Amino acid sequence: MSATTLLSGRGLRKSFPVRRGVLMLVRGQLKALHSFDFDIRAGETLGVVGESGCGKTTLGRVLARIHEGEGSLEYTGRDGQRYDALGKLDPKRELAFRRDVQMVFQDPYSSLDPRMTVEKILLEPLEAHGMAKDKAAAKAYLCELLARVGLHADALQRYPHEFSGGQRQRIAVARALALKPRLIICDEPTSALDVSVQSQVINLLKEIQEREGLAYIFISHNLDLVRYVSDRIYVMYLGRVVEAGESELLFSDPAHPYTQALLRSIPNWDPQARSLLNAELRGEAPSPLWDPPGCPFEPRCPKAAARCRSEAPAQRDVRGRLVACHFA
Amino acid sequence: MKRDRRLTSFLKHKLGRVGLVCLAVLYFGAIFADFIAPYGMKDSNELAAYAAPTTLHWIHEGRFIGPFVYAKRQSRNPDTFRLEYREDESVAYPLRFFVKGSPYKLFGLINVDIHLFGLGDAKLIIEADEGSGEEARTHAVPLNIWGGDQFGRDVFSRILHGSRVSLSAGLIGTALSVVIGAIVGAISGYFGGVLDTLIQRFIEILRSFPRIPLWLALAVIIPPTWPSTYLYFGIVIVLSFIGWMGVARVVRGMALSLREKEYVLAAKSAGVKPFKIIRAHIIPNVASYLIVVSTLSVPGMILGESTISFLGLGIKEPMTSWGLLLKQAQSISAIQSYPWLMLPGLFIMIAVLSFNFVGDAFRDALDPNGTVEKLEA
Amino acid sequence: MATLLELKDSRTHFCTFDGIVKASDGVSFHIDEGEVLALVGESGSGKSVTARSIMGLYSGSKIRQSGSIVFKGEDLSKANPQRRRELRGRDMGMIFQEPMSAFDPLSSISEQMVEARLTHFKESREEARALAIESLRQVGIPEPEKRIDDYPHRLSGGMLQRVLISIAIMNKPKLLIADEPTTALDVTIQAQVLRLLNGLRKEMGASLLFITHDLGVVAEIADRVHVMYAGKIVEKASVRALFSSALHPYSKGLLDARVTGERKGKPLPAIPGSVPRPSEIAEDCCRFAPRCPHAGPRCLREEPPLAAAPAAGGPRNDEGRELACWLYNGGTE
Repeated sequence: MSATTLLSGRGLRKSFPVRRGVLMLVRGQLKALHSFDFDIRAGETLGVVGESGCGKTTLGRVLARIHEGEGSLEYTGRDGQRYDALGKLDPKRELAFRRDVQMVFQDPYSSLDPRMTVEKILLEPLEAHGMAKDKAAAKAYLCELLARVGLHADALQRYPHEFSGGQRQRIAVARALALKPRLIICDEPTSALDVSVQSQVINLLKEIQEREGLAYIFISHNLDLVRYVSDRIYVMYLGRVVEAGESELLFSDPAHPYTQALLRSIPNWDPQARSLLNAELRGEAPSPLWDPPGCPFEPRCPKAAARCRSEAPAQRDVRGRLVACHFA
Repeated sequence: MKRDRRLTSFLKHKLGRVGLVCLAVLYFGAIFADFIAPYGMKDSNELAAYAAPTTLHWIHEGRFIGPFVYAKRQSRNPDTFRLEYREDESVAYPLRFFVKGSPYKLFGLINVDIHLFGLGDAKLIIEADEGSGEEARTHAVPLNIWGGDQFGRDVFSRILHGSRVSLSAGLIGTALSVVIGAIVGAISGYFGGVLDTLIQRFIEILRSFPRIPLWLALAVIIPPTWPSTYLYFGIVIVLSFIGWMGVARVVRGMALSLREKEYVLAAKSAGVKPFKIIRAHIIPNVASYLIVVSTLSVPGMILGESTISFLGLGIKEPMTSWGLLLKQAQSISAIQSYPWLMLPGLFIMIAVLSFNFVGDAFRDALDPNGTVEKLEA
Repeated sequence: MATLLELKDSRTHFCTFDGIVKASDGVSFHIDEGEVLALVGESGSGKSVTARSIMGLYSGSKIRQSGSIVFKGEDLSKANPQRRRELRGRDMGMIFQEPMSAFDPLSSISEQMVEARLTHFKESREEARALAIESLRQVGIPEPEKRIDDYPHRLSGGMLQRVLISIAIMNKPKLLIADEPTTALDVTIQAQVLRLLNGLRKEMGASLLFITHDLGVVAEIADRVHVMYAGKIVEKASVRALFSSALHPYSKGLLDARVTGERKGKPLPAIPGSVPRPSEIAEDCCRFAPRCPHAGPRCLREEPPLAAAPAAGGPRNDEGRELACWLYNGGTE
């Protein structure tokens, strides 16, 4: 491996207490993320794909330290020092980590405070890191940032509602770039946008990556999109990784039955074939509250056997990628 | 563009417009009370005790001479022993504008003694009863357009002076409770956890006490020997002590949902400190709620102050407020014989209704879903 | 085949604070019996507004409608509200994007389904309930006898969408209108719902007006496609013709914007600019001109009419292909 490993997670877990009843007592745990292992190198794009409720958003938020996760998350700082970025950090490291790891959210309508001008929005992270002391320099920097995401400097004095969805997402990208991060976590960055605008934002993200050598963790339910942007992909189901590997390998030769089913569910834009009307995955994604002893995909799996119900499949190497399936 | 829309929507509200005009008039009256009122707060005139409203005349002895009044002669009804008045039509006392009267400080700064209207130094000679040996006295002619009270003070002037206390207590009390409520609510909702639970339980316990006894209990704490201005602030603090809790609960609920908003998460993940997030994101986004709830809460505060003063635990004489003024209209016989003593009540009603109308208009403009509840004061 | 529904110059304008918003501005098309017509467009294209105006969901002083909507030979734009109500839910069924918000959270599915049936048919509650259960079975709800007494929040999004479909088909309508029925669903559920819709439609012989922004879904289900932009139809074509050769620069742009693995490493072709807001649509010119790579002076001067595609250029064998673009109608100069 030439590039350094930026972030590597081992056994990342996150559960939310489920409160029910009048007294709001904790009645159970919603295991949104079950033991997630990954490594991301500098400049690389990692795709995380899965359906709603699979835990991909939770993963992004644990990585950005918005949610507090368990397990270990080893981060290699700019100075080459490695430390666990979960739990409480000393203030210096905390700031450094928050500077290096940024996030772009799904909905550009709710990720920009409607009561702030673009200038205030972009200034906020700079101020938090004490980098806006020189007003004139900061302003010049903001103009440069806007130019980098393809917006005009006169946007600074305007409010988010004056922009279209695509432009707002550009502002959100500019905010993420403001602190010169090393890793940006993109949580469904285009799914709230119009089709004709999506590719603009994707192109922008790609362009920035090439220019600045950023790493991305790209979270999406859109398989085509994840395939296009990612070097490696993690397929998630019910808080677990079911398959992980090089993106082309995964798409050309999916090993896990769930990955196979997902790929068959993508419309292939061919009115002659109409493949979608023939292929079908049974059933629905289970509730995240369900915590089976065996394979979570067993109820929907065409290959399921008795063993799948009782014994959780371990991740193993199959044809050059990791798969969690007894039969792959 | 957005602001215009809200303004348009606000101005479309008919009752809201009426309320706004009423409030403008009331507050104008309160600000310039010393000037508009013909008498000072403490001025009394024994000729005006329980006097009925002075009638304004225009024609004297068949001749039009502009607005004037006749003096009233006091006499006691030998059967009922009630004071009775009859107009003495021999002399006309013309109504003058910008006349000299009792001195006051305009805006608390400039010494002035000009009043909007009055009779000037018109004097009436009262002959002594025959055989009493006393000499004839001269007396200022009272002008009581809305009658006089028990001590011969002018009800109109007293209502104007009282409006200062009542209307400002409403505003300051609300401002205080909204500020406290917003801060406590935002902290409680944003941080959540044990802190939130503690604050919420505390509020629930306080709110489960019946309101009026709680006010009274708190009002008793204020030493009655305090000067009236201190007393006034004491009352305002008592009112807001209860008022902030309603705001805090709602703001907490809003903060709970705002803290999940992606822009708050973005700020959080950029390393912005919690109190900065509350100041920069939470408070501005509950601002329109706060505006609406403020307007809708002022009536409660006004009524609260009136209630406390009415019950004798609030503002003390000679300072006055609408609630205190109403105290004189406690008995049926007083209301029957001197109905003008009820006028302060009418003003309370007008003020309360106006604030409610304006609040509703604000709510329609700023919060079209109608989620804002009135704050209980 | 007989025409089931025909819109002629249908317009729906909203009076708002920002002025008149021409959400759909002169839309004409027809649906034959048993046919699937897809209306494709992005936000603000007027596709949903068109669908709702067919259902007669708009009324009030803030909304101006004109043009004609002829359903089974009857001009609905002249029909009274009572008649519109009769047709709605009985002869036309509608499926919405957000299944969660299409239900009343406080009444059970059975109450809502029985209600929907009894509004249009005089029968006993028991009969209506039996029919509702049957209808739920048809859309593949497991154990419909039990599920029918559940409240909406007990079901997942995919299940609710099935229930919504079962309500729409319960009265055997001739026309089904599906407004982005799969947008809120996961891909695997989307495939199930599409298959279900297609099967039911064939079984009932109903026509389907399918509204979506997703061309991938269009390819799966539609017979003909109308592409809408900023309140107008810009291209009408059969689904095969559109996917083999889209002619209008906007349709082309949409097809090109597809993200595929093969494009990896190369920038994605993108349509520049952004979708205009309804209040900012330029008139008296081609509405797509500001974003169009081929725009010429004429495009900014005159609005291109929707006209039959020319014989030269492009694949033939496609009847009824129409375009609103000067490129194919005398040039852009």
